[in-house]
Amino acid sequence: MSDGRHVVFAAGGQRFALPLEDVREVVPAAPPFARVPRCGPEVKGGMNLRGRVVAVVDLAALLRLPPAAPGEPAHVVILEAERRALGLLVGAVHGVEPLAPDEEGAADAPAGAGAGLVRGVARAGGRSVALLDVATLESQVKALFGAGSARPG
Amino acid sequence: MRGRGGEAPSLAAPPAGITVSLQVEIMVSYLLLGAALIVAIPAVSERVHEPLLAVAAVLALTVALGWGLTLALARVSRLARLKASAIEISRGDLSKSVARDGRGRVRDEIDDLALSIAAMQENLRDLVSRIQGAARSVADSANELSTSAEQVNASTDEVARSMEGIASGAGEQSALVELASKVIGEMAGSIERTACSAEEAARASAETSAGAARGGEAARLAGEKVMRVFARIEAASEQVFAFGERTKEIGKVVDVITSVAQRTNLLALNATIEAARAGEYGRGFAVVADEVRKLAESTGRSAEQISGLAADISGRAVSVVGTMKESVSVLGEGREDLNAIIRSMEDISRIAATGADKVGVISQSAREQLEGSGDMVEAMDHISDVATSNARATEGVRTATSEQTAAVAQMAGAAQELSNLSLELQSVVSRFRLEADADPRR
Repeated sequence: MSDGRHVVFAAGGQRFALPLEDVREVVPAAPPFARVPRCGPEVKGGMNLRGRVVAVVDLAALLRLPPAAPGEPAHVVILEAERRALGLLVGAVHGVEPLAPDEEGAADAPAGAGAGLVRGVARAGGRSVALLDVATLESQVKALFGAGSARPG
Repeated sequence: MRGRGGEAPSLAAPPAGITVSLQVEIMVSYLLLGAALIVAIPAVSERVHEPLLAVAAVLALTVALGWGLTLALARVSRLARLKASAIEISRGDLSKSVARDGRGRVRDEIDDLALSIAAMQENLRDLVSRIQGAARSVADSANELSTSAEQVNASTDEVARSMEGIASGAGEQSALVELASKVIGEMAGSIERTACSAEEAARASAETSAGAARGGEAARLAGEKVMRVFARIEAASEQVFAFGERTKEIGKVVDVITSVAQRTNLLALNATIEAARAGEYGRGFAVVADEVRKLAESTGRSAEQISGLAADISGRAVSVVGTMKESVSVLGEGREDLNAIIRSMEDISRIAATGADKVGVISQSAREQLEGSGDMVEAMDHISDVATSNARATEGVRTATSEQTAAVAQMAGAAQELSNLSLELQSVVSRFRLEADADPRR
């Protein structure tokens, strides 16, 4: 449906890719974000996108990667997830690039909190890129909010 | 005799007494003899009968009486004594007085003769004594004259020696004066050279002063030019600084462009996403979005290049400004150096002017010294003239002295001659014996 085209971006010093059909749009990050109570540290806060409130989650923090250096360009990738909008705070956005499906494969996927987020590793523009799994991502974010509501304070 | 004085008053006034002529005396003797014979002959003839004996007796009586009477009356023995005296006088012996008979009452011619001879002897003695005294005094005078002549000669010799000394001194003086004149001439030459050198030094000092003044003026002009350069560099520095500021503005604009390009890129990305969502209908739109993305990327790259260039320009401007600031500080130091040079030049000019004044004074005094040395040369010439005339006068004195020496020698000769004459006279006169100190015949 999207001819294997993915949106490629950087986060925590690594390159990641999301399928084009899962991305609603990409906007520049405009901190500060409105803090959301009872959430984990991965949740940066909420932002106003043309009247809609979007929750922003730091992908690097979610993947236990080092935080982005100050001054680096920051973007928020808005995901299309049912009726709820979810924003991923990432670094530079490299663009839309096609990924060959045969290059997909589970390799050196990060463990821990970010486990299962990476579906595989592909090559885009001669460089490796980690392919993120949108369903796992959404479930983990929901778990974040859920854990936040479950945990007191 | 009478005019010779009263040495023989007895001769002038013969002693009182009866003058009896010798003839009378002899006559008396004859008479007495005759009378005696008249008496004696008869007596003898009476007593003596022998005729021969009687004759002999008469003859003897006659002889005896005659002898005795002449001796008694005429006193002929006096003649022998007179003769001896005359012989002595003729021999020059005037010491013994002529024998005089003490029987002064009756005189005869022999007594008168004796008196006259005595007077003559007295007169002779007086004369000879006077001659001897005169000869002695002449000899003394001649000796004195000779001594005086010798003394005069000695004095003249001394004078001559002194004159020699004076003459040689005058010669030395003349030579010294000549030497002094030469030395003064050389001195005058050296003073003249000094004066020339001083004038040249004065000119050089004046040139130095003028050169220093020109140098000072040039340094002042250079200082002004440096000031202008300073001002220009400051203006240029400000302009470069402003240029750097403007370049930063360019950087800001480029930032804006870059951000616009990024946003355009993002818009193109979102457009691509929208096109993908539109499916087949969004395919053309996706192409446009891709073109827009490419344009945005190109714009971003250009903006990056511009940004780099602007940063480079800004950095260079900053470094240019720094260099200019350094130049300005160096120029300020140079200006201070120039001020120091100007002050040094003024000092040099003033010192050179002072030196020129001093050298002028030296030159003036050298000129005065030159005149003074000219006067000195003149005075030396005068001294030389005086020395020459001194030498001439000395020569005259020497001539006069030699003439005097000759005259004195002549005088000494005359004195010697006089002495000889007086000696001769004395030897002549010495034959007369005046004193009777050792006369055995008396």
